[in-house]
Amino acid sequence: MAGESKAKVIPLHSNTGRQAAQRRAAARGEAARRHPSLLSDPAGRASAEQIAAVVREIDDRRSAAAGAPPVDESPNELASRIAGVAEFVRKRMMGDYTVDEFGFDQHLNNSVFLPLLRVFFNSWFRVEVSGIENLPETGAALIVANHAGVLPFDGLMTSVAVHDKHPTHRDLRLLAADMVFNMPVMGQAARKAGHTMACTSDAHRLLAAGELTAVFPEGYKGLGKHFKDRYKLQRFGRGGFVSAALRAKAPIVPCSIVGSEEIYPMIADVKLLARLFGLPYFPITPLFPLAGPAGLVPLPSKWHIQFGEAIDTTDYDDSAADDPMVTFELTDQVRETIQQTLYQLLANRRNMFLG
Amino acid sequence: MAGKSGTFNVGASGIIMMSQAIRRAGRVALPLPRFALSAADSLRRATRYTELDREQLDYMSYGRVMDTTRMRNELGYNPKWSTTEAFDDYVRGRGLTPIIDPRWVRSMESRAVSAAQRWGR
Repeated sequence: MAGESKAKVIPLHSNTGRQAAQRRAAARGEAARRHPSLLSDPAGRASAEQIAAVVREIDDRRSAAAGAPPVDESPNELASRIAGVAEFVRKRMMGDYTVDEFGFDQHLNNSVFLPLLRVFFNSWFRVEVSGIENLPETGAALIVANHAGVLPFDGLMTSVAVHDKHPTHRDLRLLAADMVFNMPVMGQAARKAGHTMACTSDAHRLLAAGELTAVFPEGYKGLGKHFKDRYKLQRFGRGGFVSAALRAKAPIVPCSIVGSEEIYPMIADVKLLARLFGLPYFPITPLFPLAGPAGLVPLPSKWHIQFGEAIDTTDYDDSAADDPMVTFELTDQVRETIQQTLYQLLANRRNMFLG
Repeated sequence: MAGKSGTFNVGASGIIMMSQAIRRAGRVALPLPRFALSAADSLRRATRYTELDREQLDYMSYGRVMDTTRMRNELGYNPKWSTTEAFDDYVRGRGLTPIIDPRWVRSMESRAVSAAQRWGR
């Protein structure tokens, strides 16, 4: 299979069958020699070098096509694009990607979900991001943001903002409502995009693993609030997110999102229909049930996402996570910071669609 | 022999999805509703070729992920191979003939690229 390491080389004159056969035979021989279960293993355990060698060989074989740049000519733009797509398809077809314990499929997220969301991010909402330097380069942090806009576009846009603007292009893991994961297609997609249920055990695990985690403590109360209540933060749960951050000693980053409220201006909430469909709310917007599918298109409001200064939690002792006084105080502090930043951003905004 | 007592989850690191496993083995996935899966299983039982337990159907449908932190920290045991490597070794060891041949996929990839290269100038 070493022959395939030249897969990216663009053959101008097709190579002869004999050469290919030779190469294949050599590859087979090599593969048999290095088969993991045939490793010489005198001490009963493979040495670190042996393991490393096999792993490297496996890696080489896997990324064979990606490694070799064309020697004889530089690829034109079309070719490099097709190469990118072909590489993606190959990796998907051969199962050559890794999935983490929450079902996060980074390969799929980077090549499918993020590019789709990026269209909204750049062209539709024209999101401006500030304060990205408040996010740590490595290690865990809990991003706490306001939640609005009927559908959770704000979470998705924040994940694009973190991935695209952060110097190390980190992935943001959202803690989402259970309902998302009960939906047939949505649930699987959300899992693959790296999001998980907003429960303490998952939050602890993500933070303990050093992931950038985002939470929206307002939940449905924030998402499904009326347009007249826009940018008024709702109640912040019971401060469970604070104890999660305290337990993992992860900094809390308050995040204020302006623009999300205007995407679906909700003028009424039909409780009866909501109960009928098992939804937390049934929104009526100027366009939604009346204009049919056109009502599903979010209005192109101008967005600002600002990450505030991180609140350090390393100074609190171990009992602080269970101390309601400490958690209430921190919850209030975070809530107040977000609310103040929202007012500031709103004051600087002249027009909701032009910014 | 002095050892740790208790129950430990023993497993290699790394996760492999059902769909991914099928692709890595070069096979084609055939999605079936649950009742069809049980029916197919009964049929196999009737022909007395059973490799599959009734309980294992649950594993196939829902999958499992185990927390192996205690195994690593308390038992001090670290599997030599990751899940993916073990699975690949299994596929090679069984000598499964892939329906979707990796070589074919690679050759299609390079063919597409070279076609684009010729066409694009």
